[in-house]
Amino acid sequence: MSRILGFIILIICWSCSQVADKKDKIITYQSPSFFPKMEIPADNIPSEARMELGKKLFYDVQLSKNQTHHCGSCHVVSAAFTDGQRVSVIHENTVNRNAPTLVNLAWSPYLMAEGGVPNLELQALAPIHESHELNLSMQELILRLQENEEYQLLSQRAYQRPIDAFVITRALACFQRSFISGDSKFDRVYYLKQGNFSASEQRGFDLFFSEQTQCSSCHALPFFTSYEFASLGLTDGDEGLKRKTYLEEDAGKFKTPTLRNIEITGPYMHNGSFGSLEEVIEFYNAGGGVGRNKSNKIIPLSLTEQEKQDLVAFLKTLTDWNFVQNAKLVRSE
Amino acid sequence: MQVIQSTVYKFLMLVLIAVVFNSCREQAQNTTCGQVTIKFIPVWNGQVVTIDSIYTNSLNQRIRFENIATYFSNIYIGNGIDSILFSQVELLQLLGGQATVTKNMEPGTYSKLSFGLGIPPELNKNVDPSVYPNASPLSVQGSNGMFWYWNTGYIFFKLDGRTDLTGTSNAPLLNTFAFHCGDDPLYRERAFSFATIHAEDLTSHEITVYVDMQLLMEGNNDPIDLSTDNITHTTGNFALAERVTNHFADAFTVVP
Repeated sequence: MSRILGFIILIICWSCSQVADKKDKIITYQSPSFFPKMEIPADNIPSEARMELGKKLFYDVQLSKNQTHHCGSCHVVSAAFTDGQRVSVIHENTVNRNAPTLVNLAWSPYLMAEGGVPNLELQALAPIHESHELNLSMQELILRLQENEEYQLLSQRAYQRPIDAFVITRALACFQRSFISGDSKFDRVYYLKQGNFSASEQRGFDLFFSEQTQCSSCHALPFFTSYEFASLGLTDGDEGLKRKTYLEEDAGKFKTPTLRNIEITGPYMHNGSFGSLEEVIEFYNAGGGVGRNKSNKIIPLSLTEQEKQDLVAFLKTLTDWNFVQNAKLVRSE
Repeated sequence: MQVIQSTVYKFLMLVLIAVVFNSCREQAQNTTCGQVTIKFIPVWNGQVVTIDSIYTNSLNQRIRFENIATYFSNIYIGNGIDSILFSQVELLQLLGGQATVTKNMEPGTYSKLSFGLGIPPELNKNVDPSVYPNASPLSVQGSNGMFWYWNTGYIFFKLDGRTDLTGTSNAPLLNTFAFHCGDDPLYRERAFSFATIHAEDLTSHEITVYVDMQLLMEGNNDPIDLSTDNITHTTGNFALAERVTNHFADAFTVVP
């Protein structure tokens, strides 16, 4: 009798442990102390299951119409979530703009070049639906994923509901909030007082934060962006912010991009028109372009060759090599 | 014992009264409610527009409509004093004869109809369609692609079709037009009066809203030249989107 009882207790314990294994676990995003506090929507507190589901979706070709591309096709970790292309080409369609980096999106007050999307949860809908990108309707995607038992189980575990638009948008946002980059040489020298810049980097630092260049007035700390909209005078015909506001005074204005990891996120500008940092510095040194509504901060800088090199040297200190080599962000095989 | 009997008797009486009262109430509801259907019908020169018919505008451009998906919101019917929310939001495909909204109305007389063409600002911007139940016309699934994903907000209507610009009769309609309009400045409200209906007389009532597609395409002496003005996704050509929207808002007439 005692043997039977012992066996029953053993079975119960094993069952309990199985259930416990399937329980989700809340996790915390690890961000640098010099970054502001991250605001996280109450309905999308990060957890292990949510991260797992988000990552699975991010790298799933089922998100594209032809099942050939996924988010990670144009947002590659080793290039700080860009793709090295002037503009991406998906399904023989050319995307209208250069693939932006996805780092530190958790702090971005709005998303997309016009700032038309207020949060990461909503942003996930855009590339899925955009005809030049993944070109799939959410309805079709849900039908695809509903047939997948692994997705259904993961969805229940993460959000306690069948996989649907709510789950897909939340999980993708949850994963993307973990793209936190704040461990560059600049961060260690400037914020953590560890090590020193080289002489050239230091001169570049001084120039970057100087009245002469005013780089930091738009590319402000700690994210190297003020998130403001500005026109550099580019003349490619992209209306930029005007698409959202319909105001002529907003034509050609785009959200200021972050410069973190700028060394590895070329080509540069919303249209990928500059292939190297040297070209970008030359553009600014010449006073920008001649397009509409150019910011009055974009003026000729009269930089010497040495100063241009120093600026490039400083910009290269913004690369977070630990981030771009983070195995947790790479597609699981 | 007598006390218990008395209590049971009182209880049974109360139950009986409650049952009788409830039956009366249900009967009253059944006998006085009226079913009202609002039907949207696109017409061209008085004839119902169909997907397989070709229409000719004043610029001699032959047109076939393939899609007239439209959001209507804040649909109220009333009597000039009170108005009752008929439906908050409906996404209707006006082609095909199925563009109807039906509701059982409280007893009363009704002679007013008002609705918004599109989605009102408070429901349009910075909203997350994924939080609505999937059956809602405002949800990701229910909106059926009628949402701007790059700038949040709904596409108030999609008017798609084909046209021939050669002016040759019987020529195939090789050109397309697409008017996808929607943003806060394009929300339009319309109000109409119609012959009074009595919702308590146990009959079904139909309010027909005609959409004059000719007026939509031509306005009041402002024809849309499909050789030049054949596409807008609102932001790329807001002036055309506004023009089409204004034509659309003027194209409604109501017949009880």
